[in-house]
Amino acid sequence: MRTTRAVLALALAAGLATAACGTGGGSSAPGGAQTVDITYIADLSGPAAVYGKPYVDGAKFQVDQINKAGGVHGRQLTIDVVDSGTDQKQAVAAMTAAARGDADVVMYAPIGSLALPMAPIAQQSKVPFIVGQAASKGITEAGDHVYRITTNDIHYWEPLIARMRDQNGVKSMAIVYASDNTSTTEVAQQLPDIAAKLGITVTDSVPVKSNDVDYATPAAKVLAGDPDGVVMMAVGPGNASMITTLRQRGFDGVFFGGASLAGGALVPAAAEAHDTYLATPFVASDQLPWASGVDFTKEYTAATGSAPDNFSAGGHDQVEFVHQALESLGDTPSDRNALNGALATVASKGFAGATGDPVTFADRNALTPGVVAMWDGTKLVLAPGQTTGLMAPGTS
Amino acid sequence: MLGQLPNAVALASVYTLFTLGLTLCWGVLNVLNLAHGALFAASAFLAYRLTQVVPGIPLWALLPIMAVGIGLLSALVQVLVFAPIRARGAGEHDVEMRTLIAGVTVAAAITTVGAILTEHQPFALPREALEVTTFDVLGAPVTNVQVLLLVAAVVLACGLLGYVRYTRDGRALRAVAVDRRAARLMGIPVRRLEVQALALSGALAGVAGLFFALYLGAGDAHMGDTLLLKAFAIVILAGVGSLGGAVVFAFVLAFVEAYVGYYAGADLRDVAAFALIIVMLLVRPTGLFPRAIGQRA
Repeated sequence: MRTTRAVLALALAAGLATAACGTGGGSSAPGGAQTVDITYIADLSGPAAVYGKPYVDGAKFQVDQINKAGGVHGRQLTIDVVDSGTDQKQAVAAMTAAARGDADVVMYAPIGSLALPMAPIAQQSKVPFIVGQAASKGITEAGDHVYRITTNDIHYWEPLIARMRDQNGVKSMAIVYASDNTSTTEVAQQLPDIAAKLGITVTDSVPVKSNDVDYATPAAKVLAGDPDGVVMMAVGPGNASMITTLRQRGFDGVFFGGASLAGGALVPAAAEAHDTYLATPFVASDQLPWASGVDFTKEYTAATGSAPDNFSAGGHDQVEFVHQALESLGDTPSDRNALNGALATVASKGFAGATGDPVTFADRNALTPGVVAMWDGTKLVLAPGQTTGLMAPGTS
Repeated sequence: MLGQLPNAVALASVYTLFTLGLTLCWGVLNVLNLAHGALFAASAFLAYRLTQVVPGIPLWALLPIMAVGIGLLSALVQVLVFAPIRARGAGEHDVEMRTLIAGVTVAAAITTVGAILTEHQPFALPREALEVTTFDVLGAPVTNVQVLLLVAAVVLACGLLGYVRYTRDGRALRAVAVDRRAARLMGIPVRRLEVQALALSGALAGVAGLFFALYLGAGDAHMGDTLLLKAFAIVILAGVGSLGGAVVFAFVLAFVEAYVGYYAGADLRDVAAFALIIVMLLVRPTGLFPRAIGQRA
């Protein structure tokens, strides 16, 4: 806690020092045309690289698409990617440099504890800052220049559990969560109330640690309650380890969860992860309930040769959010303040993104409908029978 | 109560397997090899890559490949990094500090290569390597991997103990630990023995990493990090240099963790484990089975 405060204080001081330095406004491209400069700080190495890389891939894809279509009112978008190494100090240093430099807008994904000290620097420097994932409290609360493009998992839990009850016969559930992760711990604390509201019994709440070395013990604890379903909120390989261990010991119920089951988290469990469901803002499918998501799936797959995931969809929407803001500005030169004003306007109306149509905002936090994805043994697919999203439009 | 017994024994076997190689280097040879956890993880991610190149390769074929491969990698670290540091060091303390830093650097390099090879994704050895089966022992589910872990821990611990205590090279190794210069003057091939010890330590890490990947069902390039800290505690609390003590303390720590973890959860499990370590440091600062340097094994 003391360390976090110290980092925040340092971040604030760095932000104040740089506040007057950078004004953005883009830079001149060869030939005199102005560019709009995005600095993307991402975890491309370290433990969160598995999530950071697809965010950047999605953002780069959309930058290319916009530039190929002629840019925005003659202006091309540039994207400068900086690796934070999943390290708080490196992330703060990169944010400080971006705020001091010519960046018109800064983006980051996906860890909340890294975004947390970056947000006040962006706010003090008046540079628009758009984060992906990063569910920790206090990020968008830093001020009116900070936006979050990925819907917080907590919005999806109630409809997800209701679906598990209605369609998979879940009457009791155990909760497995990473107790050394703020986001999963916060959700684990709220789930018993949601379960009680839906008439579901919570048999046990079992904490595990990131990089744990023993999953047999928590598995035994889960099995002692004989639940119909298990909420999985471990981190990284812990999810696959826990699922595999439970299956080996005879558990044949359903697993369900949120973002921690996305990306490649279920790949090691392979067939053992059958009957695993997760609520997600996006899954690659031509059956998504919103057309802009289907279009994104097709275009991304055609351009890159691989299907997008929820993280690359988030990266796409970060850039598309800026694109829509620039469109609304028209030919007006866009400094940071003008761009932030335009972002606020777009946020108030919503825009068509990969993760929803419209992507709406509440207090600068995106709210998108979400869907239920299921594991088919090799990849995530859209769970059957979804003609609408998990949340009705405008729900919070 | 009995239901947790197989899980506690399996965890103890994991700790034992990991600690053996570290004890050999540190306890017997005075080389604190901080790259041991990375070598352990390297066995898992290299085996994973191998199963992709040679689909269907079974465990019995992977075991010797990883033992030899990681053994050679560890020997290479000794020849290219630790030995030159010792040759250039100004005194034993200076050598220890430089070796520590070099170990961290080597570990970071191996982990980075592992992260790139696995594309920063969690991975698992395929089912073809070993079909996991579960059977019932006194009402508790036990997997064949848990049995294999125990067998490997017992066989390798006994083998290592026999090597250090009763073989000519093992005794020579202990002589090197007491006084390198005197050992060299007595005609002991110090450099060869050091390379041999690091190779053996690496081979143990190779076997341990492979079994651990099977036991967990999934891993990543950082999977050795957590175990390294616990293995240090085990070696110190057992009494540096006591192979038998390390095995005993691996079991004590694993049983405390498994039972507290089951009845009180993962958070209190760690509190209990570290409380045990602190109490032991206060009550028996030289460890459960303290050894003079000449008695180590």
